[in-house]
Amino acid sequence: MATVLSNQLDPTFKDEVLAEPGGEHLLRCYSCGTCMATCLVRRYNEEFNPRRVLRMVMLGMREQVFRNPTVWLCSACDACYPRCPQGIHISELMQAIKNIGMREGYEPPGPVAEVDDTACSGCGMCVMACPYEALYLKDKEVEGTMHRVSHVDRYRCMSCGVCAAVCPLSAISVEGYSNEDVLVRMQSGGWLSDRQAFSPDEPRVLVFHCNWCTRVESDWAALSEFPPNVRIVPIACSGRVDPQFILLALSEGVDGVLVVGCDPGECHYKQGNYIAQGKMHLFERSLSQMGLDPSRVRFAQTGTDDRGRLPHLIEQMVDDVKARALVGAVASEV
Amino acid sequence: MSDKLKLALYWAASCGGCEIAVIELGEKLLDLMEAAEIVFWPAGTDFKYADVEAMADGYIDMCLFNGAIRTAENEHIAKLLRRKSKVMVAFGSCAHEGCIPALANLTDREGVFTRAYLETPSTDNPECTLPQMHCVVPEGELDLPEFYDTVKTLAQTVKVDYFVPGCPPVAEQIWNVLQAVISGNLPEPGSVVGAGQKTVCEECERIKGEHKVKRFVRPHEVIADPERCFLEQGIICAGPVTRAGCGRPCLHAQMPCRGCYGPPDGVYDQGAKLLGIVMSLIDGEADPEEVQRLVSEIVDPVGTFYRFSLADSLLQTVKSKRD
Amino acid sequence: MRKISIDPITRLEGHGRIDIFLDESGEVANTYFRVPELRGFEKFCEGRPVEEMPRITQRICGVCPPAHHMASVKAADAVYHVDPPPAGKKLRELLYSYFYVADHATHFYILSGPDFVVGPDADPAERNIFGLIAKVGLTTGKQVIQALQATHEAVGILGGKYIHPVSGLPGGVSKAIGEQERARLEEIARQSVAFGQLSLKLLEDLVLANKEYLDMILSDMFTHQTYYMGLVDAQNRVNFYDGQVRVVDPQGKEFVKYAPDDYLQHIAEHVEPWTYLKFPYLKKVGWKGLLDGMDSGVYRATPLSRLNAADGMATPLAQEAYERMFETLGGKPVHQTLATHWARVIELLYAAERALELTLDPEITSPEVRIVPTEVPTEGVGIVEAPRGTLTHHYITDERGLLKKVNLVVGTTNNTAAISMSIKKAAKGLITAGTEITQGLLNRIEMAFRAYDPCLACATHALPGQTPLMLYIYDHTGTLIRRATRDEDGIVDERL
Repeated sequence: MATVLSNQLDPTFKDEVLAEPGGEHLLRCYSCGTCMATCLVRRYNEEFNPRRVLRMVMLGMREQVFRNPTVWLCSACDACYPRCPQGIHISELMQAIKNIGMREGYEPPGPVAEVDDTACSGCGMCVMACPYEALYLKDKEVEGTMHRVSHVDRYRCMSCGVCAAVCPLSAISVEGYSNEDVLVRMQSGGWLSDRQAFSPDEPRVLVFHCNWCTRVESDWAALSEFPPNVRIVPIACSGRVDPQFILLALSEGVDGVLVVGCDPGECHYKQGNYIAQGKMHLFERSLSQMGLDPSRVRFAQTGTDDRGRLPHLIEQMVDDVKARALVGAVASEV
Repeated sequence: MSDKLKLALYWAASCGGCEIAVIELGEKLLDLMEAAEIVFWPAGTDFKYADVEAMADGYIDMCLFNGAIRTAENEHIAKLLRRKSKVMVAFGSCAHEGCIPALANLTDREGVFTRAYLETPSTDNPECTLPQMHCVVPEGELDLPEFYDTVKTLAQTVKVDYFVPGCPPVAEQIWNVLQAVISGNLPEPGSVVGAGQKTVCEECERIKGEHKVKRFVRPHEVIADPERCFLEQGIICAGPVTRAGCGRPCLHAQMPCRGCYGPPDGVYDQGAKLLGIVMSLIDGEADPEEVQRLVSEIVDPVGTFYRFSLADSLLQTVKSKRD
Repeated sequence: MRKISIDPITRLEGHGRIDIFLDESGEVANTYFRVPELRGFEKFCEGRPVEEMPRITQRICGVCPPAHHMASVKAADAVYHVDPPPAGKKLRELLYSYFYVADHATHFYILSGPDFVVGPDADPAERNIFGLIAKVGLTTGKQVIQALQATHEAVGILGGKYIHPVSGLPGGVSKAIGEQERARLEEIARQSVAFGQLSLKLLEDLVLANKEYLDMILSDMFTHQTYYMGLVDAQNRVNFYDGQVRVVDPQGKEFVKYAPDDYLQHIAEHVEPWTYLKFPYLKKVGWKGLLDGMDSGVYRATPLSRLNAADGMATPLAQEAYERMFETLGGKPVHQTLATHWARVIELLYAAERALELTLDPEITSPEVRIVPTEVPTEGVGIVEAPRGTLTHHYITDERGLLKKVNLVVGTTNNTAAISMSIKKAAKGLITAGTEITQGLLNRIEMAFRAYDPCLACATHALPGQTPLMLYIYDHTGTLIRRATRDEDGIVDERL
């Protein structure tokens, strides 16, 4: 970032924010950095720093604030709010600053969801699934005729991918988390289709986990230590998981599928974890109805304060899958 | 020998609705007879299996085969007609993806047998007589075809050139297909014909994109608002995952779609896709307990989401591979 | 013995074959009417929500889906202990009436008509709807087609679509009609009445006026004396949608009249190993085999049966035709199976008249067409007359309305025994020592079942599978000398 000189500051900026609804408690902040330490967005974007941005506001670094991704990428998960020693509702503050920026024509850096107008049927499923109400239906001319299609509000979209999970025509997509992207991660190296490459005591386990499940460096390191029969696919939100992915894996003989999301109340995207919970439990019931063992599939959750939880959940799943296989093998010998 | 197109129509494990759908062509059927002749159609003509067996391979230009593959006889005739036909069409939902008969894949073959011949309250069968595949009677021997454990689609049994979806396919679409055949204008083999590319939602006039679901209800439990999307009112509707082309007659009768036209391209398990959609519409204020309640409000997941597509689904593949 | 197979039987709904065994002298020893198809509705409907059953069970048959739809929705009403508002019931009956016109016409013109119009011995390539239209002429042919299209349109207005309509819900119907729709429906009803009269005239001109056919109809070969069953209203007149089940004996006297809930006291189903069809019979008389008469529990449920079992028709033109038929054929009950075709056209006319009555009923455009059930669902029976016979749906559900048990006694199933008997008698009458077996002769044997307008997809909704095997070995005198069984585990048990 370029050096700023003290005579380039705008001292009225903080007053603007104070006057904006949601910005009232700006001056409480004493830059302790607890919010920054809690938030995981930094892992995916180094420039994301709530402490620094609030300080910049108070100093009057107007343009730098709007050009910093922090106010745009804050997803209002509110993990920081209960920890702020000054009781600042930080996400509201971010929204207030963002509102000012929007009025002045600043645009969010993205990525945001994108709609393919020619493929969209205007069913509105994405509109209703979006936790941020960032989608809406509107008539638009597409290939010469008027069609009611979905539109993305760039200012609200948080790229969670829940919309991409619901769209039946693959007409909406989020960069990095399109259906193709996910399928590539599942299959790369032939993992999905190459059953023969793994021996019977290396059951294949597929893991989907949201980006916010790991809390410390050691967690990330642990993930890379798993053997090749465990395939770990990170996604932005557990609500992004399409049950079709799971069925695809099971139909290729994968022995277990684990989906990990955030604890209730801690979803980085408001309610993506609830959507995942609903899908997974209904899916398990469907497996049972079909006479299949629902324990091949599992939905687990981890919390903001949990350390080492995700690697542990994966280990547990692998152990359980192995134990089941053993029971099955013994049963068939009897 | 005329140079008219030689058509065959056959039904395997089906209800006969696809035959009536052809009859619904009405006067167009008479027009059709100017360009085509029907060489085998048990519902409407008197040609017998022996007549088909006597035909040269490829004699039939196009066979519209409806019905799922349930028995050895269904399979045998499917293979016979495949040999005798240049083009084989999986006609209607049963042949395309299993349709209602495929719901039997949820149950156990033995359980089914027990229910029909031993258990139903009106059955009087103290000797536990059961229909036999091979039976000797005083006069000689009689065979009944073997019942397979699983209902299969036509494409899981023989190579299929085109799929015409619907339960049944609507008359206008059947006519579109026949015209395409007569004029030689069919798309590449393996395609779904007689249907659109997008979903039923595109044709549906109900207001969409306004409300999330606070609770799921069944169609008879409420008097629904006829102007608003069913799903938004908590009533499960398969419209979003169902291929367009039927003209949405069920919606016109104020009933939700159940998916008989099968999924659009790109959806490889119609039931799972619908399941995912339905649970994504939940109200923003829901907490985990409410989510569990919403899950329990869906009383028959597989029977509802996979009403027509079970035999062709990945869920079926998972079960078949396990068995 | 020599075996002749008709495989498949044609111009009916469903799969079937007839096996005819000839003894050494060339006489018919026995015939077997066998149905090789099954799907298993009584089992795979378990676990389904009862309100979905009208849409699911109607896939038992795509020729008569409204029959199952109505029986099912009535059973669902009974399960929920709910009585739909009058307009809801009338709309259901209205839909059902147009369907009856269409379905009976489909059978008369497309399935069985060719036998009479083109001729029973005609070239198979012509003995079908196309040959029929060529014979009656394009003008009449188009009239028939338009009449069918109009009735299909009517069912579509009321139920969404003709094949597999969707409007039945426990508590009523999903959709009311407005004045514009009512006016169109009235128009179609009037056309249907005219069409009914046309059909009666065609029957008279082409069938009854033809001595060869009349002789065939009156011949003993195509006659059986059985019990007859049909739904009747409070005045004992034919009603397709609602009422009580009335059975008359072979002499025409009322044998029993029961409400749907009591069906199990009166009907039981017998099983044979050589077909998937079951054989219903009257419990109070008992199963004595495939026999005619007062002492045999065999009964028939067909259009002819309904007219035999009732005291009259509820509409004037149909009543007139009803009286003429019985007068011509020598009083009630009529036992000649082929007269069923006549009864069917009379019913077509009644259905059209009934539709017209309903479209003129001021309540038909009422918006009150459905109420939401409030009672806890338990168990219920719904009975209607399917075109092919009395149709019973019996459901037992859990407290959420999910099916625990399903029992179906379906239209054509009622007639399994009678169809078998009709085929055998016709075969015995037509084939004697030295008879040349032509396709026309075999077709005449098929005509014995076509009169019943069988719906074999309906009849065999059940589903068995790999079965235990029972083997009977007879010597040349027909004496059983050995019997062996093999159970599901493959264990063989031989005994005398």
